[in-house]
Amino acid sequence: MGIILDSGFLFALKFKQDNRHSLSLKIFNETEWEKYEPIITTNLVVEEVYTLVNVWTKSDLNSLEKIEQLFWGNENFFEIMELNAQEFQEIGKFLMKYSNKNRNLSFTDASLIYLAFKFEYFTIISFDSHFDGIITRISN
Amino acid sequence: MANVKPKNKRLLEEFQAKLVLLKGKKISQQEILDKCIEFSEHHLKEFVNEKIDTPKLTPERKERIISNSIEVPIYYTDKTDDEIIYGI
Repeated sequence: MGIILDSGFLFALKFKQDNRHSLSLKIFNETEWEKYEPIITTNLVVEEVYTLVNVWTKSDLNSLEKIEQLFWGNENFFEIMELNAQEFQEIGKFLMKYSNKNRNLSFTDASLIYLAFKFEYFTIISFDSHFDGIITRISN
Repeated sequence: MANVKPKNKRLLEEFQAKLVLLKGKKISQQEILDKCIEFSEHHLKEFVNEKIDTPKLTPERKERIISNSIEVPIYYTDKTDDEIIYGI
């Protein structure tokens, strides 16, 4: 079936002071993960989470070290899909198709929509309404 | 497309030799690899279960993620994720 994870959810899951932390925990605890496996994200989401951690904590090294565990350590529970140059071209097409005046997608957003269509994993955990009307979003 | 190189060339050569013994004819390494892929594709579930490791959300891992939550001050809480990352 497959489920995709977005940056905001992963960040808020780990950081207690984020105002979405309780919501992330609720989703984390209530989601029937085995029903959705595989659980995936992309290298672009990893990049975004690192940026969020770095900016929001004002480069707190301890936080940056701890977030490593979620991606590559003993807390990892999802696959990180490495997107290549050929896929970037495809993602560019998705960006053009789904962006408009009212929906300014980031390239990372477009990459997640691309994955949803490529693998038919039409569910995403995200706090970003950009995905609404395109794929099913779990946000509460 | 990037070149694909088998890590275990020796195993491939041994496999090729075994096929010669079994079938009495030499099959090229390229053909062996192509047929292995074709075979795996037809037996995808068994292949994935046997050869592909995927991270699992075990109860222990779930507990670890929750108990290791990070408690530090968060700055710029008035901004959204996209504002922080892209300034949009």
